[in-house]
Amino acid sequence: MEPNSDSLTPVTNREIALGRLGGNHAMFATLASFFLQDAPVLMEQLHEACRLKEFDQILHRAHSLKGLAATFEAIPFTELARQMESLARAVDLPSIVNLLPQLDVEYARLVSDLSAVADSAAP
Amino acid sequence: MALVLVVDDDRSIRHMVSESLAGINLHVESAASAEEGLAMVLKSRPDAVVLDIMLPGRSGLEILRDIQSIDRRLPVIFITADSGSSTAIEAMQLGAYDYVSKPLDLPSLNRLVQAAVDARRLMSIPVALAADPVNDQSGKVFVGRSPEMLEVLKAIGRVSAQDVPVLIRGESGTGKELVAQALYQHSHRKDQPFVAINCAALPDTLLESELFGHEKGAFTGADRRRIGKFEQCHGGTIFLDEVGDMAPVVQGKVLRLLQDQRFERVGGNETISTDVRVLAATNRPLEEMVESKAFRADLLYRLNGVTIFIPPLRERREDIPLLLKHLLMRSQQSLSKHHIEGLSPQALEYLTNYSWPGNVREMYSVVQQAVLNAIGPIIIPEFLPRQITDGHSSVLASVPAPPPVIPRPAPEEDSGIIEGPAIANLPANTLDDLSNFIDDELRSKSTNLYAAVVDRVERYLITRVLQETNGNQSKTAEILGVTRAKIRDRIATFNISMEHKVRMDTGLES
Repeated sequence: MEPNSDSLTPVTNREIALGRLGGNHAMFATLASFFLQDAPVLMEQLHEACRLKEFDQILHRAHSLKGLAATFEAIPFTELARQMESLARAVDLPSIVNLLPQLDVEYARLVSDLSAVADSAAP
Repeated sequence: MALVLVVDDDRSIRHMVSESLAGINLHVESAASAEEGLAMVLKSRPDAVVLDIMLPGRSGLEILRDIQSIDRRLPVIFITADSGSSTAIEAMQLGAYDYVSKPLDLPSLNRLVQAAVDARRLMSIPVALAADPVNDQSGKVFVGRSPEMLEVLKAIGRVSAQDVPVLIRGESGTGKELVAQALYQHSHRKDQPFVAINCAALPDTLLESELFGHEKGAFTGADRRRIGKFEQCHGGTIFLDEVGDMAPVVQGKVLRLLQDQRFERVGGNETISTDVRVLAATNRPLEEMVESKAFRADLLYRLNGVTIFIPPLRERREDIPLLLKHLLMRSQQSLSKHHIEGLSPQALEYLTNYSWPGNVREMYSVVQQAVLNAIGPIIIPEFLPRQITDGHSSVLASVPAPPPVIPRPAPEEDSGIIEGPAIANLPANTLDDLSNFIDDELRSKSTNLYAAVVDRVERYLITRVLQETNGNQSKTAEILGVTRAKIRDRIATFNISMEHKVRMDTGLES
C-alpha cells in the first residue's frame, strides 16, 4: 500500500487548475460548489459499497470521485481514489478497508479547501 | 452556429465543456446518460460529440458503435480517465475522432472540438457538378463551361465510384481539394470519413506519425501510443494534399499501403491492416522529381493510375467571367454587400486580362477586396487591387512594366559578390492599413474576417522575411518555422516577384 501524503503536500493547486480552465475564476468557484454538493453523496455511496462488499460499485464511486477532484489538481485525494479503484478491480477487501480512513482524511481536507473557495465567491 | 453534444454523467464536466465551447461560439447541448445522448444525436444532429468513455451501465465503445450506426461521419471525441487508456486507443481504432484525458485542459479541448467541427463541415458540404453556377451559397460549386473544365467534371464522374487512387494535378489555387471532395462525395465511401492532410505543412517525423500513428516511446515526446489517420479512417477516404512534399521514408510507407493496405506504426512491429481510399494532389513536377530521386518512381506509378489535371485559369479564359460572377455573388452574401450590382466593363477587362498566377484562390481574394473597397453599386477599376490594374502581370502587355524594386543596402565588402534577389511587390495593404481594414470589415459585418486578415498578414510577413533573407527561400522557411514548399506556394499565390542581380568585383580598383 502506498503511503498517503503528508500535510506538506498541497491539497489543491489552484494555479495549475486555473490554467486548465483558461484562467476562469468564476468557473473554478462553480466547480468547487458542484464538488461540495456531489462528493458527499458519492462518499456515502462508497462507504455503503465497502460495507456491502460491492466491488463494482466501489470501483465506479472511486472513479467518479477521482474525476471530480482531478479538476482542482487535488493530488493527495486523487491518488488515494486511484488506489481505491485498483483495489476494487483486484477485489482486495482488506486493503480497501485499510485505505478508507486515509481517503476520509484527505476528503475532509479537500472539502475544507474548496469550501473557502466557494465561500469567497458567494454573493 | 455549429452544435456540439456533450454526454457525461458528471455535471462538472458538462458545465465546463458547455461554458468553454460557448466561448468559441459553439452551441452546446448536453446529456447525462448514454440513452439520452443517443436520443439527442438522432433528434438534434450535432456536428460533433464529446463523450465520456465510462458512462454508468454502458461502455464507451458500445456507445460509439451506436453513434456510428446513426451517422458514420459524426466526429466523436472521448473523455478518458487517463491518457494511457487502452479503451481510448481501441476507440481510435474504431474511428473516434480523438480523445482527451481528465483533468480537462479547456483551451486544448476548444481547439480539438473546433477541428472536429471543421472536419465535419468538410465532409458535409455538397459539391455540385453543374456547368453553370448554382445560386446556392451553402455549397461549393465547380464553375466553368470551357472544354478543359468539362473534361475535369467528366473525369470525376468516371472515377469517383471506382475504388482506385487518384492523383489530382494543378497549380496552386486551382481547386484540387474541391476535386478531392467531389470524388469522395460521389463515391460509395461517402458515408465514411474523409480526412485531408497537407503533407507540406508538417515536418517529416510528425507527418509519418500523423498518418501511421506511433507507439509509446517511438521518439522523444511520444509518451503514449497514437493512432494515425490511416488506421482511424478505416473504410473511408484520405486526401494527401501536396504529396510531392512527402519525405522519402513516408513515401515508402504510403506505397506499401497502396499495394497491400498494410503498415506499421512508427516504432512498432505489429502489422496493421486497413481499408482506405487514397486521393492525392500536387502542384510539383513529379516526373522531374523522380529523375532527381526526390520522389519514388514506383509511388508515382501507383498514384498515377488515374490522374485528373486541373487547368490553370489562364488556360480557360472563357470561364473567367462566369467565375467572377459566381465569386461576386458569394462575396455579396458573405460580406453582406447586397447593394453591389456588378463590374464595370473596364473592371471586367482588367480582370479578364490578368494572368491569375494564384488562380481561383487569388481571384476570390481579389473579388472580396474589390467588394469591400467599392463605394457605389458598380465595381470600377479604382476599387480593384493594384496588382490587377498596374499592368505588370497583364498577358496583353508586350513589354511588361518592371516591377518596383526595393533597394538593398550595398554590401560591406566588395569582393566577387553575387547579390541575391531583390524582392519586389510589397503588398499595397501593409500593416499600417491593417487597423483600417479590420475596422471596415467590422462595419460591413464580415463573416470572413479571420481568413481575410490572416491572408493580409501572411502576405506582408512572407514578403518582409524574403527581403530580410535576400530571397533565400530555405532561410525564410527556417525563420518562419514552415516548410520550403509552403514558401514556394505563397510566392506563387501572392505573386511575389523576385529579381536576381549578379555583380562581380573585377579587383582592378585599388
